[in-house]
This record gives sequence, structure tokens and C-alpha cells, in this order.
Amino acid sequence: MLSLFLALLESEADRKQFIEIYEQYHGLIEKTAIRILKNQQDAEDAVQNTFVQIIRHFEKTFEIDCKNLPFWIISIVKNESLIILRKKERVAALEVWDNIPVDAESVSDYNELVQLFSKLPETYRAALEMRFLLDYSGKEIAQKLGLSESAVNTRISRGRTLLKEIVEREGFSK
Amino acid sequence: MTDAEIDRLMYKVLIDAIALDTENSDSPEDTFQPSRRHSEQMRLMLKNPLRWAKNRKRTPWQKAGRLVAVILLFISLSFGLVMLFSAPARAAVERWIVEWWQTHIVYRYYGESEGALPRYELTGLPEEFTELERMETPTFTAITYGNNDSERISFSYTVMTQGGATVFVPNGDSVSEVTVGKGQGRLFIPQDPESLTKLTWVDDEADIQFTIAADLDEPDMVRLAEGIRREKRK
Repeated sequence: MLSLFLALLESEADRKQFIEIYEQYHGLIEKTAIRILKNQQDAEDAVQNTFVQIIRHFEKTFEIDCKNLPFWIISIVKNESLIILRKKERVAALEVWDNIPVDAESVSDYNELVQLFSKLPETYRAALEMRFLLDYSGKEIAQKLGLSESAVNTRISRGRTLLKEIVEREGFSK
Repeated sequence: MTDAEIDRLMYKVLIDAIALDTENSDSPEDTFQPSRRHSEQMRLMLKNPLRWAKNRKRTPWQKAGRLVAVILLFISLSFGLVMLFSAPARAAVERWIVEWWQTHIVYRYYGESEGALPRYELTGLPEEFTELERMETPTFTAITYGNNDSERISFSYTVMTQGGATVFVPNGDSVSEVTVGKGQGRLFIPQDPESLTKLTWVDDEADIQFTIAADLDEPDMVRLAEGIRREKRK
């Protein structure tokens, strides 16, 4: 059943790479998890779930630029922590998108664009990260975030449209 | 800009947004202090990442506990509703029914069962699996088998008695009918690779519903189910 995503990591070289990733980033993963969850047991679950996802998407560790790898990993641990929080219903379900397009009007350079995306409502950002950084399907994201598939598609579509509108208006790309 | 270019830019923006968060998120008061269990998990992971990832699931004890809680909940609910449903009339023609809800599947039991719940065991276990834990109540038994690599198989069975029910929450699982011995069973193949495959079937003669949860494919699940054996009374 897991043979699909476990096709990689079978060679000694892959295992070595995995161990290197663990040694280099486990501190970062643990720190991120405990910062978000503030509970040791939950943080341990998030850390372990993060490593499962890293193993699952191991081929991506070869594709991602070295300097971006820690942020890709943070995205995983952050979202695994969010899933745990949502399961425990410690996160408010109500998220407002309406202010975002208004804020977007003042974006005039790339740094402001990044700032805008860093302030997206939590599940909007999580859905975008799961889709664009981890290649999850809509169904998978829905399952992880406890949302309907159409709610996930709405979030992804709004995020893409927002980015497209800003880029076309300001005429920059990076 | 093409869609592909937007997607590439989105990737970059999201990565940079995480980098920005990281710059602003220093909180030295939170310290991660790994438990012995976590350290052991990390040791197993580094020893064999594939196997560890495959086995990394909710513990069988949590699953068994949740199953018992669900059964108890339904027992109490069903007793409360017994007058409304006029269950004895239905029990005259059927001992159990399956209710398909939007989010869950309920096996609801009718009629009374007599005698003590027999003891069963799995005889067709994969190599190196041994019984680790057995939880028994008068109407329900849950057994956990495991091996040294932390792989687990959970086997549970419950007597089908008035007011009782077993609930399955497919949560996106693919659900199909399979033949177990001379009867029909239902197989739940999870979409989530971290979840276990479940097989449930009813022995109408014994008035018992059995469930196995394991990380095995369909033929092995069925083989395991067909290999259950009733222990002789001591």
C-alpha cells in the first residue's frame, strides 16, 4: 500500500541523505512544533508526522534548492501542527478573506507580496502550501484540514487569483 | 503570465513567506524535551525509515479504546431509543442491519444472545507476530498482535446483542464487499497511507461480528480472517 511513496529511500545513498536531513533539521522541526503546539506530546506527534511526510515526499528533497529546504520542512511541520490543533479544536474555524484583496491593493513590490501571503488566514495558507509545496490532492488537503473539498478548492483558487491579479497589475515576477 | 509561471511564483512566494515567519518567530521559552517513547521512535526511524513510516500509525491501543468508546456510546443511545424503534419486532426477522450514513457505517444489532463470549485468536499471523495485549469485557474482546518492528495487527470481536452497535468511519476509505469463508465481509482500504486496512464480517451462527485492522493487502486480510480459531474452553 505504501510502496508507491516508498519507492525511493531504498538505496544506502538515499538513507544516508535522509539521516543527514534528520541530523541537520530535527532541531528546527522540534522547535517549530513545540512553538506552535506548546505541548510536548502533541509536538512529538507533529515531529513524527513531519518525518513521515518527508519520507513520503523524499524525491522532493533532491529537487528543492538547498537554501529553500529548511523552509519546505518548516511548511510540513507547521501544517502537521495545524492539523493536530484543528483536531483538538483549539483553532477558531472562522476565517475572513474579505480584507485580503483590500490589503492586496497596496502591494507594490515582491517583499510586500510575500508579507501579504504570510498573513493569509491559516487554512488558506495551509491549503496553498499543501498544494504548491507538497503536491497534495484536493481530497488529501480536505482530509487533513477537516474541510470539504470544495472549500479547499476555493482557498486554492482565491490564492492563485490573488497572486495573478497582483502580478499582472504590478508587472513583476521573481 | 501562464498558469505554470503563476504556480512557480506561488511556490517561491510561499517559501519566502515561511522564511519571513522564521525571522520573526524566536521564542526561547519553548523547549522540546523528547520522551523516551519519542526517542525510541526516532531510533527506529533512522534504522529503517521506510519500515518506520509504514508502521507509523495511531497505536492499536488508541484504536481499541476508541472502538470500545463508540460501542459503549451506541449501547447507551440505543437503550434510550429502544421504545421508539420497536426493536423486538425487527429482531424476529433479522439479527443485525447495516446503516449507511454520510460519514459513517453502523452495524446495529437486535435480539438477545445467550452464553458467554467465546475466545478467538488469529492463527494465520505473519511471522514473528505474537499476542501483546488482550482486553476482554463480557461482550467485546480486542487483541493486539505485534512484532519487534512495532508492526501491529488488531483483532476484535463483539457479540451482537440488543442495543449494541459497531461504527466504522470510512473517512475517504474505499469500501468493498469481500468473501470471507462462506459469508460476506466488508473491506475498508484507507486513502491515508498512515491508516490501517480494516476487514469486518459477521458470523451469523455465533452472533458475533469480527474486525481485523492491519497493514495488509486484500488477499492477506481475507486469509487472516479465514484463519480465526475458536479457543477450546479450559
